Amino acid sequence: MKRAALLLFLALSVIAVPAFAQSDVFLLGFTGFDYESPNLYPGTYLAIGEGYNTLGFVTAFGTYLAPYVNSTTNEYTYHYYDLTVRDYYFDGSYLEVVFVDPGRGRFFEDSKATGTAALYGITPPNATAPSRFIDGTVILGGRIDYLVLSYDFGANQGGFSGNISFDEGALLGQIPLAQRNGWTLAGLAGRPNPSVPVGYDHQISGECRIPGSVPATHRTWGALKALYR
Amino acid sequence: MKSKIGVAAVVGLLATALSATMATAQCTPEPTYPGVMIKFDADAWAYETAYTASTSISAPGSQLTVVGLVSVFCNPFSDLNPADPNTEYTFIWDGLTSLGTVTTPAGLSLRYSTKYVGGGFRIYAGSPRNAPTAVTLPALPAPGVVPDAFVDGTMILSGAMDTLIVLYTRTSTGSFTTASFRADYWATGGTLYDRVGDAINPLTGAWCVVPQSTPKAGTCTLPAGWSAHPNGKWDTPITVPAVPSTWGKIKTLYR
Repeated sequence: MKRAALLLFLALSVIAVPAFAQSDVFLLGFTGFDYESPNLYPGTYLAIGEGYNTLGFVTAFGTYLAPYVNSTTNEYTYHYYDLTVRDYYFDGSYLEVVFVDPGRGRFFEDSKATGTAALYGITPPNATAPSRFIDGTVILGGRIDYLVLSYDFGANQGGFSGNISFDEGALLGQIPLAQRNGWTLAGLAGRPNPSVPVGYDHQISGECRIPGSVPATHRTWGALKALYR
Repeated sequence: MKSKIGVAAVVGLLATALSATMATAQCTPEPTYPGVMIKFDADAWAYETAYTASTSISAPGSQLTVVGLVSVFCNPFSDLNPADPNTEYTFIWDGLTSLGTVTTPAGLSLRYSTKYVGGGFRIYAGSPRNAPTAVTLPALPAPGVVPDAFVDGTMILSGAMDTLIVLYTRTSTGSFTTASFRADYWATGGTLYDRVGDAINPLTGAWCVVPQSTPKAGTCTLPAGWSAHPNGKWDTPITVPAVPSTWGKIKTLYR
């Protein structure tokens, strides 16, 4: 009976195991827009000393957070801020900037019934952005380091990536301590792009990823039996 | 012993049931702006016939295919639910022929640019839910699953793309990678074609390449055979107003 039960457990464990040992996993995805603030040199995009901001909506949650969110009753938003340009490279069509460490990234939950609906408006910061994207409960937040942004003005597209180390938020406890040093990445799509409101620079589509769980190691049959004594 | 196994079995089944990402309907475009129409997040991946992961190079003539699951529907598809347990919304991009990756030094970084031509897309509503997700993604080849599980059901929308441009940069700062894709699309068919028509619109997003060796920020580790994980969206055609609009307002967008 014990042997049959153990074999059943092993069979069910095989069904539950992912197709491969993931070394990084999807945490959440988002879409939004970005803008400069402060925009110290309007004639130069992301000059040294200028600030970079992006905000918008969370569009999907991965398995770590999905059980603890409810998009029917809540609005989920994000905001990356305190990102100041430190290094600047531009060759006439390609831009690459590096930001001062650390910046900050936060994700929010706001009740649709009692909260305030987030609105982009135009020419941010404005009456609703970022204020209506950063009210509600911080469900996750972290410092952003080594953020790099590149943009090809010939192709009107670019991207950013950097580390994000989660250290706050109501759902922080749902991410194991060993998996909180993740990274964030996004694609940028600039004009001509009819979706980008006046005063914003690019449309954003991106996500956060975290290291996967520790993969299983080889065990002997004796070691496995010892777990159930 | 029995109680421990019972708990372990329940936990295992629960983990399997929660393996799909949860779609959230965050569709609030700024008035008079079109916004996102269809988005994909965790569950989208690319593979090619002639791509070398260790160098991130796509050879000329390589055939690119992208498959995935929709995570969000917005106007004019807000009535569709990507989390419907009985209906799975999948998509495929295919017919994309690589013109070969061109690398260009940029300061201390290296830029990679790949153009793919001749592509199209199809979006399906199928049942039962049988496509792999990020948690269950198989290595390639996966006959009978990839791309089969992504092209079953009713084709609700199909279309063509102009040149798909994929850009990524390996930077000198800790070798981080920034990557993106962009193309213009227009619908050509499908049972829901009449909702969008054939206006040209952007299809854009992040393109997370598999690491050349060790994982780094901006890369995504995937099972063998896959080349990248895109995260992006089809935008709503400008001719489909998200809110009531006037011809005068639409014209101002292009001045």
